[in-house]
Amino acid sequence: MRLGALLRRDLARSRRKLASVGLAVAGSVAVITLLGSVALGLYQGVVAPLLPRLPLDLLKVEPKTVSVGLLALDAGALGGGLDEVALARLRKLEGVTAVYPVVGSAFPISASGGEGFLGRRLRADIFATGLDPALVGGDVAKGYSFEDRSEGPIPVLVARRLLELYNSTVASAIERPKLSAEMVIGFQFELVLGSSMARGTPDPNRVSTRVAQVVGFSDHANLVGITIPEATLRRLNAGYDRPVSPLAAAYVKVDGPGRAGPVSQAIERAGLAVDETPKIIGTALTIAAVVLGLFAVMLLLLAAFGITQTFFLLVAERRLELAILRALGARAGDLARLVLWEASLVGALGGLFGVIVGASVAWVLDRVVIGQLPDLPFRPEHVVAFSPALLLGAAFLGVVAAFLGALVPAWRAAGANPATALRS
Amino acid sequence: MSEPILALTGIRREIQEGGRTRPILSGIDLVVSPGQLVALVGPSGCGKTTLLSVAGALDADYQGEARLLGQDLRQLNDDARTRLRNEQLGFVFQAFHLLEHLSVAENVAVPLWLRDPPIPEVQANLQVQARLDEVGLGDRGNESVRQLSGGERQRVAIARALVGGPKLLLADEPTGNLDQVTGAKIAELFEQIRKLDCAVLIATHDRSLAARADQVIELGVP
Repeated sequence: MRLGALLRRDLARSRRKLASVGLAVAGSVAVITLLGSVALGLYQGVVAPLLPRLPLDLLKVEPKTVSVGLLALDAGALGGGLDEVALARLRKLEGVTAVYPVVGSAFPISASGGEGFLGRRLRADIFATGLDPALVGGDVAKGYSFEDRSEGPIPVLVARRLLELYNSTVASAIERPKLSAEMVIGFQFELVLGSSMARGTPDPNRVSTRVAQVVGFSDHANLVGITIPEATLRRLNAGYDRPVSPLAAAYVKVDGPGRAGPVSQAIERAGLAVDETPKIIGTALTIAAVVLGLFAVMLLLLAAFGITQTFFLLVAERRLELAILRALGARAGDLARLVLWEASLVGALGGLFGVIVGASVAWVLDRVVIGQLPDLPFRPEHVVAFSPALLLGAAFLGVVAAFLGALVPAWRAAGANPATALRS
Repeated sequence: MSEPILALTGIRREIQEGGRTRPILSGIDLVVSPGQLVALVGPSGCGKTTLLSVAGALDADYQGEARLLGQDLRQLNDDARTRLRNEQLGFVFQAFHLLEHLSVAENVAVPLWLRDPPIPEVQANLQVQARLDEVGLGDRGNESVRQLSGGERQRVAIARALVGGPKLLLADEPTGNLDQVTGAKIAELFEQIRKLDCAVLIATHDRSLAARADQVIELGVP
């Protein structure tokens, strides 16, 4: 039997005071559950889908386009803008495992087609970039290829963001249905090489048409045009008297996210620009996580402080009773365990109640907020999410807070002098 | 002659009071044999309660030698002294010191709840009922102790002290809060207890209670 019988009766006797402790724990745990579910919801709904598009070990390097002339003066080791020499030097940087150039087109291109989706044939100027299949191979749809070939349709990758923009803003504006990736894969259209409305037709003898086919969506694809295999574009450029293709940018792969910072600095020192979007998002995520974590810790500390106060009071009120128990055969450790068990049980009940309240509030919040969100490209289906680890963890934090809060009072209870019982 | 339950030799105890050392006990010798009723008498402040604390393994800060059931109390650690209190000693206090949130039977059961290893509940309940029957409260086990008179409360305290089958019962002014008639009944109970081969050491101002003792130790203010 040991302490169980005493524990049950103590809990029954002190239920009002313990209820206040339990509510303090429940309040903190509820807020932590709410914050945690919102953080998890945003992570699952926004950050997680976004992270693969912003791999932190892949840097996008661009020439400093505004002041190219000045840059050339300061570019140092890489010798100025982005060219084949610069690519070779990028490959030699410590921590760099691969460099993928983004090749630009040296001739005008236009495209026509789209009857199936748009209701009528459309002709528009487009820009083309070339990418190494090794970089974007994972984005190619099953059954399709992104390799260079001289015959058949030119494989084309489209920016995933472009599809999202179309679905979120364009489709409704032109009163057309939204498109899924599956609907677009395999779609063919006509490319007119050597002629566009903006650049005209420099050499009518070199105008040709090719069929292009969408083979996938990629976050590395050109947002305002099409992306085709690097070798295809280099071959086409050569046909227009440009044996050396222009480079629009380059992707630099480093051996781990931790290398991204030093490599970025080395690239910037060389006079090139590095797209800082991943760095900014990573920093924002880190700051948000730290702020949320600190807030949760502060809440727990406050709850623990309240628990300490209450248990100090309870132990002080029961000083004589604890001394009597010592006289009757309770070990010092028994009294400490009694206080800690009481606190832990109250913490567990408070934690459980807090999780239920926090999760309920989060659920209601989700219903309210989701209905108010505009039709954004990254509109999540939920702004809150729950996981067993989150709910169990939050409830467990209640126990931890109560346990920690009761430690010092328990230590004081264990130190109760039994001789005082005889003198009282 | 049987081995003494309690043997105190040259017990001295001092306390710090306002930066000065004040002697409470100065060289007390005492032997209590099985079944003996020993009374400690003397004026307030002479150290009766302090001596009970030493004898009851509650106060280890003394000089001299205290042996309980042949064991030198100074050589025992806190857990061993606690086990000794639980299994071999019973305590009765002037202010009863019952646990107000427990019933009569639960108060009596507390020393058994604290026993290590635990006593089976059925056996504990039988022991509790037997002790309540002995003190005349056999049919009051489920009542709250708040409903009891002073004499009844003291009888509950005595039942609690006896429930573990102690060899020595220590009582500090057990009739001090009771009227003369009730005090006499409690004194009768102590007479019965000594017949159970349990020694009793009582600190008391009650001369009629002391008159029943086999041995009276008169303590003076040191």
